[in-house]
Amino acid sequence: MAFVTDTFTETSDTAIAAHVPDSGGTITQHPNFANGGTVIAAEDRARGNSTTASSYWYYSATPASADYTVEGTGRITAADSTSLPGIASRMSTTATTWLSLHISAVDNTLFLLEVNNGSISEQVTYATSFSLNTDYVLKLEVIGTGTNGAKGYLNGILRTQLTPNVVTAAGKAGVRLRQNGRIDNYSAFTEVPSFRPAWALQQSGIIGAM
Amino acid sequence: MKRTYIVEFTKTVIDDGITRPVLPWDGMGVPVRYIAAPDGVGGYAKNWVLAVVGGMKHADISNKPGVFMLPDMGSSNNLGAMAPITKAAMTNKLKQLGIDVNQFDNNTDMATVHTKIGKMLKPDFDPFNFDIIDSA
Repeated sequence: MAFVTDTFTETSDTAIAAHVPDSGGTITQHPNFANGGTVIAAEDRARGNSTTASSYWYYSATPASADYTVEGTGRITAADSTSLPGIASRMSTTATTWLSLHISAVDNTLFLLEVNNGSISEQVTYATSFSLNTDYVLKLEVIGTGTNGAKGYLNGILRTQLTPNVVTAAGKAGVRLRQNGRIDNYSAFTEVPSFRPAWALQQSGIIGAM
Repeated sequence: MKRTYIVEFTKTVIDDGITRPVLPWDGMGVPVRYIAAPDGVGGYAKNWVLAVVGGMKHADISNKPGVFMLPDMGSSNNLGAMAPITKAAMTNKLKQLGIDVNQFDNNTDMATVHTKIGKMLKPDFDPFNFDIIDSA
């Protein structure tokens, strides 16, 4: 069940600070990354205002627990370090502490990070290339604190995972932006458990003692 | 091809507001997973990381300063079966990092060694699942 949804829809270019998400309360700039952001009306996407420094934003909705998924569509409009769109979970609203997943055209890399008070406790990268002005669906699923409990997906395929046992509080769901990066169709939700009860079995399903 | 490394770093850089160690594969475009020990105030409690690195640039990486390639884990790869020169090099490296090598003997397997090293950096480190997807 989604507790945040944001399609970044505005009728005119709007500062993200003044933007109202579709659901999930308000969106607030992280104080350590106060570099601004804009919802671009013509695109219905969000971007950062700076080419050199990212801004991070969090949604006010409080997750029911630390186990939840964030998803968003990232897009890169310049093949350099002015892009770096991403999504984040378990965000502290005061410290530089979170789990994040972002793409970088300049590095040809998908990054999954666990960041604790401004330094990295674990980082995982996946080498790939990105085309300009192309949508990439990013999904960061975090469950528990166990081995490989944080999983980063690119276009629906698991590409990175780490063990989220340093950043463990629920925190907030959020996004990362720079001027030539875009995020759209953002949501944060609690995963439906993968268990399928007996009534959902198809014709090849078997359940019970033999 | 994946290899596990201990890498000592001498520099950190503040990269977009986050302090990260400067590591030998920076800019090489290889898939990497590493764990480190944040000090909780924006730096690092230990000046080394444990990493698994994919790709095909191991010759380049292993020749960089501060890099030590750990022997692979394997059921038969215990310390008693290890070539003396390899075992001595690893023991020296572990001592240098402050790891008590007296907890190991010839019956210790490399998975145990990897575990002890990883747990110095991150709680509940599990070497069997410290893995990456190698390449696109």
